[in-house]
Amino acid sequence: MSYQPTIAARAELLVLQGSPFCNVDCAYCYLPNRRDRRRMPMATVSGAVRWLVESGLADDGFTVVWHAGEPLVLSRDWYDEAFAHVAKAAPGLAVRHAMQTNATLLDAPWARFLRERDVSVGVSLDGPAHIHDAARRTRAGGGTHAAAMEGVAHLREAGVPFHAIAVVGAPALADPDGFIAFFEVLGATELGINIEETEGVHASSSLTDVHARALRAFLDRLIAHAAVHGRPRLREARRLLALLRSDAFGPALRTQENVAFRIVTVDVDGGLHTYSPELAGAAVPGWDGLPLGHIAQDDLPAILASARFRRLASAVERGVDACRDVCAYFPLCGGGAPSNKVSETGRFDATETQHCVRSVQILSEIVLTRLERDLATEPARERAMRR
Amino acid sequence: MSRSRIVAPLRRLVAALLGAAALGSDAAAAPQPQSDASRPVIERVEAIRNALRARDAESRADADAAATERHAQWFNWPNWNNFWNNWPNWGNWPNW
Repeated sequence: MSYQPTIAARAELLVLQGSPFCNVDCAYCYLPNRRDRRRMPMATVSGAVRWLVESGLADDGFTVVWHAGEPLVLSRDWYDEAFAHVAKAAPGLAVRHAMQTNATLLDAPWARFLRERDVSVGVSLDGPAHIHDAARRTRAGGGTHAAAMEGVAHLREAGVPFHAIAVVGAPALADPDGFIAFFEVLGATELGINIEETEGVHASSSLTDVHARALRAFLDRLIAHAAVHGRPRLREARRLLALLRSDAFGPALRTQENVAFRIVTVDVDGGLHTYSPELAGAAVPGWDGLPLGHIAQDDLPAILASARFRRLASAVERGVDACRDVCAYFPLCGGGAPSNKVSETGRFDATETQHCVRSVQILSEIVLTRLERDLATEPARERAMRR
Repeated sequence: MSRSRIVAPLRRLVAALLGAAALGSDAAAAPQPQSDASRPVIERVEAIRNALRARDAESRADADAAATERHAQWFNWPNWNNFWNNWPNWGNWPNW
């Protein structure tokens, strides 16, 4: 049986690796070259955007995410030049810029810069210091919480809205109340929960099967708190509620990560990648991390016709189809993330992973049970969750 | 007390007493989902979707009535319901 790859009509995200370098050395990071201090040449910035436009994948409102390394290790002058190159390469298109940062380098001038350029900001924070510093450490082994909180204070002072993404591992499970109290008052517009994964060069998670019960209890507490108090606003609850209300709900559902070219990642060398951004450069059994092509040499039709892309796309497609056939949670999930499948099993055509169990099944169960209870008893709760 | 605060509960009470079909109200007719983890996920999800649709229809009706009332009392009073619904959509943020 031959599998036709599902190709995006337009790209939603262009991930640009301004630099692979990161000033922090988190224990769970999936990036392989985070000591590499190279910067993306401006010709590559322009070329990446031009490639997207010429491929017909760029549409009004696509987002450039500066990531796959700490974005603030580059200078504000560098970004001013880069933003100008992006605008010039995408004439007439409203391009939004976004950065996911560890906030440790974020000072008052950076906060002003982000506000004035209307950059969407996400801060990676795992909770209070004793949780955050367990994994988010400098290369010398020091904690990074104090510096990150200084950065957050600058954002708040400058009136820059930001969301937070927290990796939940064993340290958070040990103190759910501390975690919840921290994010309740942080001032983030939304909190995304990433359950610690086995991904890329991070070959083992701090979470084991022993933690399954603790994880369930943690998420139950967090979601109950968010539902009753309206804070922290949870990305996962909002997404699930939006999906339950959406016409996209059903067997045709797909994720952003398992449709080819819905996310386009361009690495520092101009290499082109798609599906999960974590696949760029991450060599794991079953995937070499090498690009599918290069912005200066390969147009979209050439990549689509290449044996390498067709092998990858066929395996991803088989994996999504298999998920649809065997998993009761498919209508809430859409077939999972290729990076998690290959990192955990060495195959793109796998079905259930630990990531599915923790981040989709357990989470969905808790939100669904909460909704069942609240819809039957107290209408205001659901409204609080939506907020 | 505002008119909507009286009318909406009354409407629900009458609907419950007379049956939704008599009033043509989908909201009142929707079954409430029951929490039972042993039921197939898809059944539970469909029940929740029906209940959410009903709730949303009811909320919109209540919000419209309340907005009309507010409008009558305070010209240009902000529509907070609309404000919350327009909360920035971070949906395109990658999950990593």
